[in-house]
Amino acid sequence: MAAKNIVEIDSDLKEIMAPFLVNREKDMTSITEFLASNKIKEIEVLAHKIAGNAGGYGLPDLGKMGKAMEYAAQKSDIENIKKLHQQMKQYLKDLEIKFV
Amino acid sequence: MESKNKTILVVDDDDDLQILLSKILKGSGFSTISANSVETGLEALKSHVPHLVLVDLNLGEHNGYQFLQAKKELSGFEDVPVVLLTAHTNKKAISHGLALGALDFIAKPISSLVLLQKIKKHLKSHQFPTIHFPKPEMISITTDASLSHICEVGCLIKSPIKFANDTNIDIQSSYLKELKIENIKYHTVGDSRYSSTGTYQTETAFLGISEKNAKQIRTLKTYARKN
Repeated sequence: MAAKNIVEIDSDLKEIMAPFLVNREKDMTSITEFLASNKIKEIEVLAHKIAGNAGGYGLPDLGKMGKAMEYAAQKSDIENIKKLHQQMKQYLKDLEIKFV
Repeated sequence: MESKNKTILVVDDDDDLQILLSKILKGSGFSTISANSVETGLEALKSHVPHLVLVDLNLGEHNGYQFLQAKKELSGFEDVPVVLLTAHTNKKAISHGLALGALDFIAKPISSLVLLQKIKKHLKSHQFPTIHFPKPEMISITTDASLSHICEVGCLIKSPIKFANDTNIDIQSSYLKELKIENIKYHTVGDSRYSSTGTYQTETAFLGISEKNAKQIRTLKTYARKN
């Protein structure tokens, strides 16, 4: 069983974190669909969004993965996109938030 | 700087970022308005005249530059400061935005500390103009006051306002209405005197009271407060 990734986040974000994470799960599903239909531009746009907003929600690592995926999409590097997609899904699966 | 009564317009097509920014800004006492495109952003700018606009450089099909360009073409909104939100921190992108009228930029991912510091800085340096009248504009003021006593020539009122001698005032009162003298004009007699209760006592004289009304007042009984 993978160790939980415990992230401490400002308690001011408590009430908006759950909907944010739900939207990120939706993003993971969207990326799966985009990969299946080779919609690389759409992946770039989505990854750019994650890169821009994850850090503000206290999840900079997720933001960095988004940034990396954005660059991979710009280069049409499908293998890297897939790899980063798996990393993001695992990150979200292992994520445990501690509000401080 | 007081954030209360200050409104920030956020133009961003990212719902999650809108929610985050709204949370941060409201937590600091600002009111917020959301728009998700250049078009709705411009509509919100015109209808709300916010104190500051945060606009994302990337707005889907459009971009923050288009918002800035369109805002420049509007008359009367020159004093509304705009700060760009951008993940693109290259000098060329930022210079272009500043050349179009943005005052500053905030890099994504957003730091709440940086966001609030920059907003407060630009609100402080961009006060909306104070309009001075070359000749004083005449206005009327309504205030609550109490009627202390009345006689056939006038009445004494207590109010939070100090009146100068010979000021014309209108008095609305259910008591005076019962006496059918609510449409009488009054003018102050002498300057108001400050009382220990924190109000001003002002003697007023009726202007043009009829003999019928004066007789009515003469026949009023004197009321002594029991408490």
